[in-house]
Amino acid sequence: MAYVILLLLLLAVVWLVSAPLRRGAGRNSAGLGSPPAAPDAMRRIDLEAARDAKLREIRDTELDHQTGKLSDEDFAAIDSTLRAEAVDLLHQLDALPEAAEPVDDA
Amino acid sequence: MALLGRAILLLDLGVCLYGIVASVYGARSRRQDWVDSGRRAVYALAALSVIAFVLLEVAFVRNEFAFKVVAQTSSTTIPLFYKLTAPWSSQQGSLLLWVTLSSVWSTLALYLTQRRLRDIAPYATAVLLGMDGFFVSLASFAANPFQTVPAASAPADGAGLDPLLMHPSMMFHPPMLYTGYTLMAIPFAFAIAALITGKLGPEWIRDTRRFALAAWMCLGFGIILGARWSYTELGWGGYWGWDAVENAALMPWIVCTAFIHSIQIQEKRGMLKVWNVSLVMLFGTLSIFGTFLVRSGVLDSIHAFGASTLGVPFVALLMVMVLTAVGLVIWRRDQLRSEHRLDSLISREAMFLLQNLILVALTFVIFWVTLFPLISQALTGTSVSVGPPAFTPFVVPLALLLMLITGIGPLISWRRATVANLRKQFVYPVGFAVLVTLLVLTLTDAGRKPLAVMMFAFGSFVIGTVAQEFIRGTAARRALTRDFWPVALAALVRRNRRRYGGYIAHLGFAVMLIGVAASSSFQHVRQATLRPGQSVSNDGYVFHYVRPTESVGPERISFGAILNVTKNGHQVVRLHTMQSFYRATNAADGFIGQFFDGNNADSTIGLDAGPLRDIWSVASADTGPLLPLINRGNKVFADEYNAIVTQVKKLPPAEQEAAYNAALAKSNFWNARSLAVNEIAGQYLKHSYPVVFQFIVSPLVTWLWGGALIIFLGGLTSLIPPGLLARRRSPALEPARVAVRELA
Repeated sequence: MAYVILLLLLLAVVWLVSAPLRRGAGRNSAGLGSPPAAPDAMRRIDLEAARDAKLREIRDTELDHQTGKLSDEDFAAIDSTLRAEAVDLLHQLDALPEAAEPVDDA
Repeated sequence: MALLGRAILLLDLGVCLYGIVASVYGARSRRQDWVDSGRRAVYALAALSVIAFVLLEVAFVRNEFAFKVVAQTSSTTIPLFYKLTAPWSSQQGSLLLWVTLSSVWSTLALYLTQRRLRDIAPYATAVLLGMDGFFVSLASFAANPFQTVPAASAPADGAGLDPLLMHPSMMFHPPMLYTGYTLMAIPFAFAIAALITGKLGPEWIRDTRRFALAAWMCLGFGIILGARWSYTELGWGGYWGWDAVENAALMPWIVCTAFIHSIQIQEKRGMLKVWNVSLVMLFGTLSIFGTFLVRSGVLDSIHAFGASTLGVPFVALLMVMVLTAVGLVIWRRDQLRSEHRLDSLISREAMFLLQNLILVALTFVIFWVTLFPLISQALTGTSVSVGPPAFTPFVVPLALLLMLITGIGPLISWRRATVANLRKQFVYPVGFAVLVTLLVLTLTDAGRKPLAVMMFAFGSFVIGTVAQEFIRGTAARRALTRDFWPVALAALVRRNRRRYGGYIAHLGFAVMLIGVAASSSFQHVRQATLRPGQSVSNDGYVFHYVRPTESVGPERISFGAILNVTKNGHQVVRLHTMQSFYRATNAADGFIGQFFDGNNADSTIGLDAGPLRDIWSVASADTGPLLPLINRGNKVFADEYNAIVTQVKKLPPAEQEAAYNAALAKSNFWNARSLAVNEIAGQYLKHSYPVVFQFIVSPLVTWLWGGALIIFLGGLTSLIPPGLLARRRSPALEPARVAVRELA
């Protein structure tokens, strides 16, 4: 009985791990992609993460100002710097080619 | 079943090796199909490991003593609950638990990141499978949980579980610790992968931060459960003994605390990249180091598995981890340069940095003092033992500094602060701290312990800071929305989960350390030997020994005491404490003595826990007066047994077993022994034997457990995904997003 269960488990494992190989032998993915596409995709992901962090920082700064941690002058200076940095990130994102939808194989 | 278990472990190993090769090949050849196949190897590993672990649990539940591990750590008499926890009480079972948890968390991490981190994930998969493969190898070849003896030579009953491990928290304490350790492997693996690929942008940090936070929560919860176990089970009245294994769990938790804070600086300012990646490497390595201490037996600890041969492979793994981490950080140092510099030394970033330095210093101190016995042994050949006094001169000042910084940090804004703003921020928290300190000094005699008073002051300062943050934040929210206070508060926390989750954790930290300072500095301990009817006083409480108790069960014999506690003539509480003796397997104890072996006993404390003080008691039953009866019983039953065996041996071998059983049944041997044991145990009630008691009155111990729960709640608040709390997609970022779009 143990041997039968083991055989079934072995077959199940082989079926599970080989499924992507059976489906698309040799296919390059959009995620890993061909060499020219990959840097753009990575750049976009990094820029999106940086944009989200910047937006969060703007909101944190607003909250610091509202709770009295930042003076009006300091807030104005920091806020305008942060927004300029955020705008720069958005421009960089806009300048990238449209992202292809990543393929999900798993 | 054992064969199946052993085969699954070998299959696990094969899956690990295949997954490593497939992932690395897929990454290097840019073949997504191979990368996906490698990731699926992790899924398969998790499924197989869960099956193997279930098989082991079934063996414990079915009392299959042909399994060596079951025979060594279980018996027919232990309750089902403890049969289920017994697998991780052994080296073998806990290795399998490690592999199971690690593969399950790795599966979760890789599943959640399958659409992202596409360049990094294959290498992270390989690292995770490499670490899992290491543990699978140990479980397969060095400490196999499915090792068996031939069915014919399997014992009829097992040796039983260590009585100290029969505690409800054992169901959760080790699994929570292992969950923390194994979750720490995920940021570690992704950090290694990011360094290998050079993709050191903010994405890997964003996607693995939650796993670091989850690891921090689970490890912290596991540590607290261990402290609770120590307080209520070990019978010494303390919750932290600076034991090597306790410290081994604390060190990665402290470093992870530093990382959770400093990562915010990298996210916001692009600073401290080398520092952050080093912290990830450090807590990843320390989590394995903790496992090494538990499993190698190099240091004495009540929590360790004792001497084993696993030390060398663990040292090898640790060396590989450290050398790889250091090498990769040096290789990628140019890409890890900071994008900005500190704007001001009076800023949130500077406070985070200072806090990080204190936390790392604390880790270094704990590491050094914990390993001092080993270092001393290596250098001088003399082993020394270190205890709490070796730690406190360093740890207490650092903890005070840490508490102070915890209060100051949230009051200072990011980037810079002005004197006028600082004054405005500090006045109420400082005023609250001064008020609390004056009250403590006036109403109590705490002044004799200045360090504890400082902790109360700094702790109150943190509580004041957190209260002010919530009040001012809610007020600011109300100014915008005109919501009611509770609605505005809920919205504030929902929209700023990381910030306010962190503040909740700070509150818990302050509450917890106030509890630690009070209970360790103002604890009153009294030992006394009492007979029924006698009393003793401790810190104004009178402990009256009312009467002894005794109970005999299939699993244990318990001798206890009913205590009545009064203060100023008023009834406070009635406590019941007892010592339980579990049947030992040592043949030298004799037929009767094996039920009264003091080496196989545990304590049930009598505890009255309250918000301001705990009354703790433990009884140590002296079985000395019963010894003449026990020895007589041993002799009588040994003579009877030997007579039966002598008679049986005269018969042909084929008839011996049946004759042996028949003779024992005919003489009613086992029932007679049970009656004798009952009768001897009953003597404990008939005679007023003296009992050694320990009575402890400690203030604010409950604050420690309450503080830990608050920290957990804070962590949970920060961890909850936005979708679960938000009314619509990412509303928290929406106003700022709109504002930036307007600017753009």
